[in-house]
Amino acid sequence: MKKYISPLLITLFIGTLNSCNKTYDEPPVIEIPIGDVISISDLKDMFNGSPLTINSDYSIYGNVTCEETNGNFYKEAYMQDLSGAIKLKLDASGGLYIGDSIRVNLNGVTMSEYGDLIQLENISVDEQIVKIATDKFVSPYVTTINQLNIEDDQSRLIQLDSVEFQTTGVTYADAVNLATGERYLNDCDGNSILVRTSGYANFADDTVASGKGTIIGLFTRYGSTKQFIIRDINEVNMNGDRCSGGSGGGGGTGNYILNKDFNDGSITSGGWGSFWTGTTTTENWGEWEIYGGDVASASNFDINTFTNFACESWLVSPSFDLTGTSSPYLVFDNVTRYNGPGLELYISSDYDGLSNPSQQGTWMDISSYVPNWDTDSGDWTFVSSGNIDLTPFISSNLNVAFKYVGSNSDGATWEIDNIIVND
Amino acid sequence: MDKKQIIYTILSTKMHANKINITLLFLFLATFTKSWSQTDSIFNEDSVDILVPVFTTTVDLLENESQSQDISGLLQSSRDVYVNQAGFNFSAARFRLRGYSSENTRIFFNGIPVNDPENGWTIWSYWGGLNDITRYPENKFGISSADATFGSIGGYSYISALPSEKKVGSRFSYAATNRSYRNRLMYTYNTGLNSKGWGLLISGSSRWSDEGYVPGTYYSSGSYLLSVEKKVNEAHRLNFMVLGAPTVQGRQGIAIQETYDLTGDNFYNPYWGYQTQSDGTLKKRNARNRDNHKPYMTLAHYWNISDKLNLQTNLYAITGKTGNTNLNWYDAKDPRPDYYKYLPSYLLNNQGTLSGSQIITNEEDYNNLTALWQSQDPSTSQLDWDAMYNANYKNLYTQNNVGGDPNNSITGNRSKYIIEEYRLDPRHFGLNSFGKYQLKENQQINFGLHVSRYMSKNYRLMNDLLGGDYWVDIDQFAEQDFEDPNLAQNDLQEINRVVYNGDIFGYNYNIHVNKNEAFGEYNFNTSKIESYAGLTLSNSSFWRNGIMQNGRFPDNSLGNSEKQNFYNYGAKVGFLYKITGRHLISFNGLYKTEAPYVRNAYVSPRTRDQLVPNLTSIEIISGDLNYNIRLPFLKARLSGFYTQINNQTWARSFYHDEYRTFVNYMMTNVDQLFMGMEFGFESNITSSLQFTGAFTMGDYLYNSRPIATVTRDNSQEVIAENKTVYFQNYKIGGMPQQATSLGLKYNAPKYWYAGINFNYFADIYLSPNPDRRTSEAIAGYGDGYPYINEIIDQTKLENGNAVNLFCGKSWKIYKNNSYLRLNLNINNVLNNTSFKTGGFEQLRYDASNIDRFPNKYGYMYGRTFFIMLSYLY
Repeated sequence: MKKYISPLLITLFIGTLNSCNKTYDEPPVIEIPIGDVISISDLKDMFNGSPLTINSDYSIYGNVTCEETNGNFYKEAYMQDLSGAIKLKLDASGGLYIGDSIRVNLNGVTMSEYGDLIQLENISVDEQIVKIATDKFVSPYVTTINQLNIEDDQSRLIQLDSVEFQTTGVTYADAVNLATGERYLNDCDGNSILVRTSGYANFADDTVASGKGTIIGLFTRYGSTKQFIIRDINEVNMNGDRCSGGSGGGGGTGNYILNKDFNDGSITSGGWGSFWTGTTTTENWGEWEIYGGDVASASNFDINTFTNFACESWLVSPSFDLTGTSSPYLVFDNVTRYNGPGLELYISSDYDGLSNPSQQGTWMDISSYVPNWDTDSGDWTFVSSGNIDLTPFISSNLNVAFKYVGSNSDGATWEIDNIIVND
Repeated sequence: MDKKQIIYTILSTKMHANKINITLLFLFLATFTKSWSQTDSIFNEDSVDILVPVFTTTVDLLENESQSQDISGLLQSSRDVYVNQAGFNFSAARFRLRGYSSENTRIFFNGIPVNDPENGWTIWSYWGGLNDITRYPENKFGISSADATFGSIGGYSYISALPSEKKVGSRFSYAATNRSYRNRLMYTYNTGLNSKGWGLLISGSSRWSDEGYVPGTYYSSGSYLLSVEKKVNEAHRLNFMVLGAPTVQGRQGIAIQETYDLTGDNFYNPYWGYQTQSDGTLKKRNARNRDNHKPYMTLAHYWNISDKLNLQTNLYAITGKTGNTNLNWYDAKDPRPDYYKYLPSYLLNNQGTLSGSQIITNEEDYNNLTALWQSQDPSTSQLDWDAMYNANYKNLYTQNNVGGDPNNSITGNRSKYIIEEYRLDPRHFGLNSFGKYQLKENQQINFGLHVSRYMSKNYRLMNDLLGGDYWVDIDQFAEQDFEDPNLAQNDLQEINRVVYNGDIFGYNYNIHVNKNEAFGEYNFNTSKIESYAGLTLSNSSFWRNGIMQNGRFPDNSLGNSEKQNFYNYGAKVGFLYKITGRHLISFNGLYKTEAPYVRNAYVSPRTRDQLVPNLTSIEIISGDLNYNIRLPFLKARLSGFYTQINNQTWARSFYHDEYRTFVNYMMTNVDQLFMGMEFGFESNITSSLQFTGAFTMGDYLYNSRPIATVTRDNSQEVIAENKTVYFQNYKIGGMPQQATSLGLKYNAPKYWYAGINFNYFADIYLSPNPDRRTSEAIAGYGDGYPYINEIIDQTKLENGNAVNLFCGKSWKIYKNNSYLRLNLNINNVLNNTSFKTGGFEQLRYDASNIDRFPNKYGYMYGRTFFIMLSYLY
């Protein structure tokens, strides 16, 4: 047996020679300097409209008010201290969570704006942010749409009470095409704010809350448009009764300068005027009327007698003010069938708001400015007019008007809808 | 024409070419004139699969210890003139004999069947370093008669580790090389049988390198074998054997050509990075480590029942572990340096431009990034461990509702980056019994029975939290995709499980495979004829047993799945006719069915027990025709072969850009065709100068239009069904379909030798991505649009060559009758580093910009050496 011992030992020895197992020390901690501490409000005050890059160690402290977990935010976070709130654009997704109490080193960070919303660009969570504590939740600022100050309150976590979605039965966003959804949130006084939801949000294909109630989220802006972002679908508690009647619906709401969708079944609600001259038999042939409950229609043809009646029929907007806008435009949907003169579009800056426009006001024919009039394609599919640039007409007291004309020998049917003036 | 017709037209043309090839093949066989052929080879896409250990980029030619399907180590010792040259010289290019993958060759280690029951493969590295034992196995190539098994189309090998069958004495050797390891020590001792009938065989080795040929790789391996034999009497012998090869290895990854071009290094390895040590030095660390130790044990009984009947019975057990590590990350940026968004090309292709008209979106960024890559800035072109640790150091996080307990919360640094380990631990037991019965002097019957009970434990282990305190066992993608937080749970049995180093998380399931098989073979030999006919029958079953209840699949993840049962059979026949003793002609044929391998049977076994639809048995039809010459100055063989392997299944998971989600992609009805010829010769020009050659050309291709099913990985949703994959006549990728070797060897009378080999490889293709060969992939393009070809055409790699030199000398030390030997091999003497030996088309692709996810390639090693000094006593 003895003679086997040395071979066994040699084998054992050789078999263990290789043990150069790899081990590694933990690398040193890279400290993030503090430098001068500054409040968010003071930081934002340093912004003068053009991008500003900070080149020394400044730090802001604050609490994180949103996170990317549910997909509605991507590579961004919002933080606020007692003085104000600001948006952080992150160089990579992830790493910040609601309730994180953080310090951000601003060295190398650029402060800029997007749609007038001030933001800090290209923040690296790993290299510039120190987490001091977790689960330090900020209470939302309870306010109303009207009270929101677009400068001072931007990027704040807010709570709106007694609000409802203007349009129900739609989803928050387009989860199929991953497109952002824009839904108006109204209060019962007719004020509205735009709720923007990413198509990547995991609640994107949920139907919007149908009742009235409370919602919590981030207040942002795009230019002069007030916007709102839901951070957690569980913070939408809107199951109460909706505002009764009131100014929502068909008069058109939203932050448009003019918005007429006829959904309330009225031609003239919201200050619109209808002026008609022509032949009356069973009705005023060619007068603007509601068709199908939610569009405006004009036709001079009596199907019972197969007769056209000569007429002139105006649909006139309320007066609006474009001073202060930069690139205003008009857009509407239209469809036509059958032979007859085209619909005409006019604009005036001296209309009195009361008289028949065929007799009062200087009306300029801008029909040829319309990129896309429908032609008779044999169906009733609306086409969008495309944006009609109103920049050349910027002034106060403007009215636009549609003029429908028919004769005793012909006349088309025209329908229009969703007339919007916006900047 | 619609898209289908277009593809069909293109493919019909190819089909036509193949028919010509068949005709030529038989013409060739009939006339022995030299002709053509096409070759094809597949780089197995699993080589990058973290779960399945497969190829390293270059097979270790001399030692075959790399973890690969390659079996050339066995074949080198074959007495067949073609096979021993091909096994030795072709393996540098991932050559596979007749194009077959390794499940088609049946291997026995001292009576233990070592083909993996899950996928059929033989992984050589599980006994790497036992070269003294494995050096001279019994080999049968192709369809053949065999003692221990019915076999298959690739052949049969039996490695013996009995003291009574091995050379008596000791052997000690040291080798230095510059391949995957740099040093090897090996020792073997065999007593043979002593007067009392006892025998002892032991062998051990160590192989190691701090860094191998490829940057960032390392190697640390030991091996052991102990075999004790007792001859009880003339009728009974007993044997106990145990072996194993604990191996830890840092791996090499292959990358896209852009990274090779930028770094100027065709062996660029994206798997490593520097980590700062406490003394301030930088240390290379590899993220992809392999840690295997799979002991094999057997107790055998050799029984000579009579002069005419003998029986060998092995009880065996295979246990141990196999582990592969990889990085994972949560809510953080992708740490891989070669992620497509971190490459300069992303700044070109980001605009969705097609190849040819590229627009640089930001010239300054592009130039800066290019410069960083070109200078091999370590935080750009390699992993940045310090940054990962620091991200983990700072990620303070409170996890509430830990373990589903609302009152339980934990606050600490939640790791963003971790090293996780994919474990597959076999528990395999079996009984293998086979014997011979001499019916008459010229008739013999071989028979055998094999009963196998296999289980593997599959789970993910926390290997390193990289400086963080904990990890939470949820699925990040599900968390973002679904509102219901339960869907993100990897195990509903423990909500928000907090994971520490060494904990199991992510997935945990067992795979069971039971198999019983029997075979019988009848041999009939005369002076003119050698013939055999064999039959096999088997039944097998497999099932999955889930230990976790996955939140996405609460109803089909936990517990035992339904058992899948298959009954299979096979028949083979062979006939050899000796025209004279020097001219022999033979034919072999085989038909068999085989149960589908469990590795391909489940859609996504980590999450659920859903089966691939229409799972059926594989069908193999094969035949070969051979002509052998045995002249005193010339030995040669010429063969033609034809094989179909039908009804195969293919399953992979990848990110699908059109569906914008991670998908499970399954193909059934995958038929493959292998046909071609091979020729080998050995000629003694003089008594000391030998001229050898081997040549093969084959046509290895897909022979059907498989049906694909696509499901979402993290939900029950079936995205596409009955999708036709226009795979007919695409080449099987990853190996040369044509190869040539010519060699000269001089054996000097004074106990030294030297030689040179020239090897040439051709017709290497990349394995096609099936989804790019569907009408949906080209739906966005009009008929005749030339860009369609970029999507559907198969990539053919350039032909390559390698020149090898070898020499050696031995000395006899007379005083104690021992020998000293010195061997030197230099492979790829001309240092050809531009030969792509394989790669793959990425499964992720963008049909509107096919260059966005380009092919990945691996290169043959440049010049390497292997020098060994051995002492035999």
